[in-house]
Amino acid sequence: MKVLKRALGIALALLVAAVFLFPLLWVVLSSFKTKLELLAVPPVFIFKPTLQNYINAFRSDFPLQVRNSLIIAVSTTVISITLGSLTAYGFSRYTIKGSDFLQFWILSLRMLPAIAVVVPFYLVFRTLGLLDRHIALILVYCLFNISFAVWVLKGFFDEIPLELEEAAMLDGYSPPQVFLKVSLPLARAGLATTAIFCLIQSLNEFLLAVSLTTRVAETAPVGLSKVQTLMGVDWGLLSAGSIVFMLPVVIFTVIVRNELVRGMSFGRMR
Amino acid sequence: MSRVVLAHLHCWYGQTHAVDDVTLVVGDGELCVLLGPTGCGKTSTLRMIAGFVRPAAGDIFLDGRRINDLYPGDRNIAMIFQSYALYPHMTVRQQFAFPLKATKMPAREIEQRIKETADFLHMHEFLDRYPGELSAGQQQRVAVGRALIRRPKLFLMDEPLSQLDARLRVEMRATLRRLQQDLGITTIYVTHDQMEAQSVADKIVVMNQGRIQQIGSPLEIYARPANLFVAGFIGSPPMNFLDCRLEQRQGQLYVCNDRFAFPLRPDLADRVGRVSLGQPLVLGIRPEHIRLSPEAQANAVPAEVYVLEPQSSELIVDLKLGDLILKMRGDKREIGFRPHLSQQVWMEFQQDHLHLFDKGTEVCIL
Repeated sequence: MKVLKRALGIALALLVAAVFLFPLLWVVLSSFKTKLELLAVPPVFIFKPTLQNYINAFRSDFPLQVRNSLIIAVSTTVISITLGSLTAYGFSRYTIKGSDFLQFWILSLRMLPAIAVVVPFYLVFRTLGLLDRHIALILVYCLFNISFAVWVLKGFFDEIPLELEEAAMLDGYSPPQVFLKVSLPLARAGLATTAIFCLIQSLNEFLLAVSLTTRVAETAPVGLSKVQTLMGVDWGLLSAGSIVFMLPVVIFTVIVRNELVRGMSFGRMR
Repeated sequence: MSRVVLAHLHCWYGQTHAVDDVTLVVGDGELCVLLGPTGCGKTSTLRMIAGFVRPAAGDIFLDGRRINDLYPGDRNIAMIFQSYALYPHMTVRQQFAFPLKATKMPAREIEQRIKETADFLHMHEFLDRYPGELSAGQQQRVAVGRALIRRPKLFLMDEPLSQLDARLRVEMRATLRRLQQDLGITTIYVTHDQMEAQSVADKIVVMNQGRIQQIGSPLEIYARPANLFVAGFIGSPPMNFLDCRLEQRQGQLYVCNDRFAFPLRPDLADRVGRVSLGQPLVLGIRPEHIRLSPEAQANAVPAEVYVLEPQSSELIVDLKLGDLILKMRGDKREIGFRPHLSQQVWMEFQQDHLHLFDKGTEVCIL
């Protein structure tokens, strides 16, 4: 009975996984297909793979766009984590006048729909001469991600017992050292979680990227969308590009997976 | 040589006067216990000494130097926290090295100190484990080690044994006491457990509602409580209290109330001479200072056996006197007879250990 139950459970899990992973499999297969095989009805699953799509992708503007995306996403993440952890720590450990109001105000920035600010941002950055520059997107993404980082990280700092920091103070460490040597390492699950979310958000973001960049600072999602032309869509190229673009987040997620599991479950530290 | 002086310390949390005019001298190598119920200001006092809380008024001196304005890390004070406050992300070795690294001590010397401390606490096989992998008793030793390794001038302990189970607690309190005496480190120890205080202290400071009630050796606190609070807080089971008054009868001073009257020994009567007759008083007598007898005795107080609480070698008898319950405690063999429920017995209060308190001011007058 128990074995049967377990088998059923595994079967169900596999089914769910298959449903979710099928589109990914489709994209992976498509990236190795020729144009003819791509459009074959019924779809072919066994064929002679070709790397032509990848070669095409790397001969286009695509590498430049991936580079732009990475520059923008990594900068955003680093800035958000740095400023976010400092701010969150401040809110968590010190009594600040109007603390609740300030925190809500910071959270409200995150609630702001991007579409509402596209036009003002466009005008501001045009005046400043920052259109189609990395810095423009970094600044705008930071707006959303810092507020997110503050909220997530404050929860993690709140969970660190005050006594640990007091012990470190008595051990002879100054408040900044206590932050760096005790509080920050203990919040690393939160840091990893926040970093992943920041990275994903700033890599995937489309609306602001399409409005604020044209060529020099164009990001990969924008670039890939332009594969859909009047002449039709090069699905092979699109698939190959998507696969390459997926890799950074996948790699980073694998690296920090242990912290991530704890972070996602908001598990208490032991 | 380190001597701690607290002079007229005050601390406020909002409207609460958490520490009210605390003045205290702790001598070199002394173990001073701050004892009191939850919220009596003992931990706040400790936190002011450590430097986590600024006193609203008053001075703290360590070795004659005023340390009020020093950063906690510059005071050369080590503390054992109630939760031990071990860093979860460091191995025992790293915990030990942590306070030393702050002083920029050379690595070789740090190694040496870690080895000494590990020897001392028998912690060698645990040096490379994380706190999460240690038992409560071992974690406690790590906390002690981390505090000791700096060779601080002053040791602060905030309920260091409260996280341990009863057996380990009794064991560890002896270990801590031995360690403190071996090293001769001046120590301030906070606890709410009066038994623990009695067993480790050189000096006990009883606190209540932010104020010091009495300072004295464990024996003094037990034998000569300064007021009703101290009398009721120390001892297990606690002291029995009976409302009473003094009356003059046939040239002798009597302690009496509606249910009893017995003459006060003349030498004791002289000591309370100033108290006006008939003034409301409280008589205090510890359970171990009541003698029971199955037959009527002159000047004894009749009562009824209400509950019997046998301990291993002792017997606690709850006695009903009107609507009051008194407890008496005695060695089973010394009681001399076997009391049974609802038995009529006579209590004799040992007058050497009799206490009288003013009911209004709660101050001890005998």
